Amino acid sequence: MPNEKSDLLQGTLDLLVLKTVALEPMHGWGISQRIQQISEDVLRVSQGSLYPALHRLEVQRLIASEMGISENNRKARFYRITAAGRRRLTVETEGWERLSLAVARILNTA
Amino acid sequence: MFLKLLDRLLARLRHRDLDSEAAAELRFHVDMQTQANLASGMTPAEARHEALRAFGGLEQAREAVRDERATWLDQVWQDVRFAWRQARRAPGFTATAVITLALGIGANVAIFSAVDAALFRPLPYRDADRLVNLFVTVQTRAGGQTQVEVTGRHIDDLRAIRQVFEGVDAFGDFRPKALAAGSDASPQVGAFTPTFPSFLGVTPQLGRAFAQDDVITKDRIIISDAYWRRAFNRDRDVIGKTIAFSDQTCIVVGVMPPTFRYFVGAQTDAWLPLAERDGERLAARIRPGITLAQAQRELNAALARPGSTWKPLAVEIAPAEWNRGADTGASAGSTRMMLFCLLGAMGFVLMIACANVANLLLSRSFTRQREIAIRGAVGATRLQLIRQFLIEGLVLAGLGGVAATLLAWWVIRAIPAIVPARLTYSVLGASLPQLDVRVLAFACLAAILTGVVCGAVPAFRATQCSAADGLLAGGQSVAGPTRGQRRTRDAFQTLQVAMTMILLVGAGLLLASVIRMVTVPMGYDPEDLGCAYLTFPQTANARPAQRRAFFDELIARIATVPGIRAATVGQSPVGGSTGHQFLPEQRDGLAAKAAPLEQFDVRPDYFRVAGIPLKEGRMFGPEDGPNAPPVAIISENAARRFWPGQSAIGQRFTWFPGQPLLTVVGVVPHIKTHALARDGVEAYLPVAQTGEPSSLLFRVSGDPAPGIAAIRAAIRSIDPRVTVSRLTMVDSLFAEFDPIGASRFYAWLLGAGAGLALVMAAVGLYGLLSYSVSRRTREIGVRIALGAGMWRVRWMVVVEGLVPVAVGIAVGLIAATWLSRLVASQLFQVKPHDPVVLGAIVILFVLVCAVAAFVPVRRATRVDPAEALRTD
Repeated sequence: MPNEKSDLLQGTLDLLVLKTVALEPMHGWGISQRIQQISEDVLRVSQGSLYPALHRLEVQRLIASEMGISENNRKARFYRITAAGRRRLTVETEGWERLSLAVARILNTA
Repeated sequence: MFLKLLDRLLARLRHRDLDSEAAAELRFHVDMQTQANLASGMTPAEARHEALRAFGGLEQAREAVRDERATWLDQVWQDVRFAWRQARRAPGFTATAVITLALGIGANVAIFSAVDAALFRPLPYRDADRLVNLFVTVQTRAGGQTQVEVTGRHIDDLRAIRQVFEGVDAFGDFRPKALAAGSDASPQVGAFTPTFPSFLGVTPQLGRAFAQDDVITKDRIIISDAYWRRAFNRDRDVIGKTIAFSDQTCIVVGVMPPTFRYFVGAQTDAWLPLAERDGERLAARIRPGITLAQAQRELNAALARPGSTWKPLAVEIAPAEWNRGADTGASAGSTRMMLFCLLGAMGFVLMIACANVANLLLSRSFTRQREIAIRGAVGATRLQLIRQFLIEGLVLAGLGGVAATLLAWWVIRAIPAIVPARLTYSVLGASLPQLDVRVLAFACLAAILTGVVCGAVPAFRATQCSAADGLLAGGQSVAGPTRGQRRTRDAFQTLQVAMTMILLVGAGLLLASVIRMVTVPMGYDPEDLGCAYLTFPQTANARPAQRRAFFDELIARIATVPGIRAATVGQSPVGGSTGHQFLPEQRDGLAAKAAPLEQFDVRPDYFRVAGIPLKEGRMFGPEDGPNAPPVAIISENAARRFWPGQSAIGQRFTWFPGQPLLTVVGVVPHIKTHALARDGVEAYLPVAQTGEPSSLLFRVSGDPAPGIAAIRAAIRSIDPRVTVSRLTMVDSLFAEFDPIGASRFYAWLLGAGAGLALVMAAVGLYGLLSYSVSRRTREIGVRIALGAGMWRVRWMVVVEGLVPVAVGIAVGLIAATWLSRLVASQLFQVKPHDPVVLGAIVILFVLVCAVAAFVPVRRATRVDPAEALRTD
């Protein structure tokens, strides 16, 4: 039952994926590498949850995919963000910032 | 098998082949990781291994992707496949449910097709929804007003009202036209204008419509499809052949298609050309885009205009129903009402089938409590469980619907053959029932509704208990349905019983009527009795005196024929002249309460020839001449009904307000006419006083053929212009009218529905009790072990079914006595609350229930306590 994972985790991964593909169209492996690089290896995306997330986002029409040629000349599926995805990204980003700010405040003052 | 095929088809329909693409994508990921690992200095084997490890199982990832992709359609499809597996796992259960639903839906589809063809489907003419009939109000001679059809004389007046009518055309009434060869039955010949077929959008299937010249020569004829088959054996070279009538010979120029079946009144065999202005009836088509009410208003306005050439009292526009659900002949019942009754009855059968299947599913859901609980526990939401049940219901109903459609296809083809002659015109007149898009849509709708109803109840009931309860209970064999579930089940059983009772009462009443109709005494002696109906030319012999002279001469001539024992003047007892009322005179004028009157115009010796004995008073004699006071002999039932407890002799009555009063001089038994269902009364009037004799009644000895031939020859030799429209034996004429046919047909159909319902109710009760016994095996074992007697055990089982059955019978009886008014038109000497019929039905029902309960009860008493306690 895929819907029963922790909402926070799932939401977070979705947010990261959206942010990543918002920069440029990218294939699954590239997305996982990018998240790992930018977070300086703090966040490791399990492939077992990345691909379900990608397909979920596609079903929700937040990202779209098409076949393309990878940097090493292989056929790969490239994901790009849609207009709906961009809107969602903005909303989610604000939400996330509010949340992390609030959590940070609590941690600092307590 | 076909499920797999469908599955593949569905997958093809999705945008891309998910599995293989997702696999390729994941493989690409692993390959990229492997390359990265190689770049960081691992050996190829290590790099590959490490990449796969990091990924954490390709297969799981693929599953996860597939789950994400699953749309509601996929989930539903999964449920359908699950339901299908469930259905295959319990073939007995599935077969019972599917057969039950197939019979229920099939009966509805078949009846719907008949009702649709008779009442709803547009008539098979161009723009039939805009065709109208026109009625004009006229003064009657008696001073009242009545409506008659507008005739061709006003066709130009109507055509001029362009704001209302797009077109107007004319046709004529049909009447028998004797053949020169003189067969027993003369063809019914109507007439229409040269433009009439194209006005209706009908083209002859062979030959042509009339030309304008035909109207002048009047020697061309167009025949119907039925007559083409009957008289010409579908000969394609029929065009140009001739039909020799007794007064003229006509050349066939066309054959109408089968859809032009019955146009007005009854089956018409052929049509002669007609000049518009001679048309006895009109068909008009109103302008597109206006409603009937608007058309009526516009017409009223146009007729009221000062310049209008035609000033009728009023003209009414009525939708052209022509022969739709109307009832011709003397049967009292309305076909329309009975068709709706049958549709309603079949609706009941379907509801009973639904209740049965819902109960089956509910019973099974108890045994599946554990499965449901586990599914709930591992995270299926209640909605998902409900959907699962609904889909199980829909799958069963879908299978039932397919079987039902096949069944209906077979029944629908048989319908024209089982509709009795008396009803062909009103049931099959508009069009023939067929399995078309409308009927298929109805079948789909019925199946879907059925599926939802069958699935919904167990869905809500079975998913009510909590997961923990279910798991606990499921582990124990004594677990039973909850109170609410039991109540639902009992409610269904009660409903089933009540509806079955209603159907049984309806069928029982009709059946009792049919039996009474069959067994009612004839009142006359039909053995060796024959009759002849003659048509006199309009010009000669039309005067009463001349007609009487013709008959005197005819009877004198055939009296010497060896095969003929006696002959007299008068209509055959199969039926006299109808259309009038029996209005008895009372102290303060005419009674308001009247009865339909069957009038016979007879010579004094009629009663001797027909074998009708005198009960009271006297027969007619020579004294009842044209100038004597008008007298009549009436039937016993009229005497009893209007002058109860006193002698009818000397009383007076009439047949129409304002007509002279007739004095009753004699009483004879009621006879069984073809209008027996109408429960009318008979009056015999001396033909010397009433005028125009037109029929001969005679009694033959032995073979009737020589006698009939002699009569035909005698008629021709006296006056060749007189034609024989009918010359046959009375019993075959009676059989042809088939007066019991309609009631028998309805009784048969309703009986079939009631029989189905009875079987279903019995199966339902059997299922309920069987389930209860199997559930309580352990309890019964304990009781037997503790010394409970066999009767106590039997009672324990029976009582569970007793309450719903008893309540159902009571509710059903009350509802039935109220609803049976609907079939009152078909009841003959049976009251809707006839105690004998109701009592017999209750006994029948209780007996059937006893049979249904027998097996489960016996099983209960055979429970071996040791065995029962050992299970689980």
